[in-house]
Amino acid sequence: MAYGTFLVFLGFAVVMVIGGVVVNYLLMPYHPGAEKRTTYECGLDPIGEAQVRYSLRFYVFALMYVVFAVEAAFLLPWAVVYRTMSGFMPLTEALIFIFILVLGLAFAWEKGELKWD
Amino acid sequence: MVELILFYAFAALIIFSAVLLVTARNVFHGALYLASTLFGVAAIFALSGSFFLAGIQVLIYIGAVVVLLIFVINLTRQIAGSSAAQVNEAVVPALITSLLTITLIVLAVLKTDWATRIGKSVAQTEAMDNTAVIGTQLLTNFAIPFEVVSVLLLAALIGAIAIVSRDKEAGK
Repeated sequence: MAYGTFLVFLGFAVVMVIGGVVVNYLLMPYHPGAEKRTTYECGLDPIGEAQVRYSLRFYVFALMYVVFAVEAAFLLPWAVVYRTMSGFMPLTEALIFIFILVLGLAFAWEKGELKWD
Repeated sequence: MVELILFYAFAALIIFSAVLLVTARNVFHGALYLASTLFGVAAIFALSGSFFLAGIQVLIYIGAVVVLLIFVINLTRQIAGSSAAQVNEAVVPALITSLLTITLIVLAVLKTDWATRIGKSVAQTEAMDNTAVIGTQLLTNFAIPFEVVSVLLLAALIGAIAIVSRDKEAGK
């Protein structure tokens, strides 16, 4: 297995990131001012603090995302071998798998968890 | 040789981030160190030839679990902003518990018969691409467990929604 290529790739990736920061630091002019030190917010004056509390709604979405990420993890090996298999069994199995989870999505929808209120 | 260098580099990354994870005074930084630790574990998986596990490690643990953790931290302002000491007076009980846990894990690893049915069938194939082997096994020999996983995920999803919406009704 050609891990040598990977090692070279990794080395270049590290050099690109750290080198960029270091070269930037060495070349940059440094004349700070009160105006320059403010948070850049698309040219407008920033309002409030940056460390705000997230809405609890995000938590529900994150939880649902975890479940569907696990679903994607199981569909990945299925997608890899799908072309090599014949018949309707692979498709049917995946459809059943997805259908059972869509029931959960329907439950969330019915409960009103997908709405932002 | 290259594998060895990479292994020790990523092993060092895991230990370094894990130590920073438990010593970080800011919980948010701790969550980021956790992501770094899990990435190191993914790299070790990839070096062992388990590319599927490596991908899943990044997708599920870094992509989903750490994101969920960061959301939870950001839900509570006090935790996100403040820095708390990571040591308290319970050093001796903590040491005993940690040592017992390590003993338990090491004993479990040594005593477990790793040659399970699916492990054997994956090991028997000469192919490097074990993602394809897992896929074939899931669709043929393990079709029923594959569907049962879906039911398990459904139960987890409904459970999470039920707990959250009950809290919402109580809060009204």
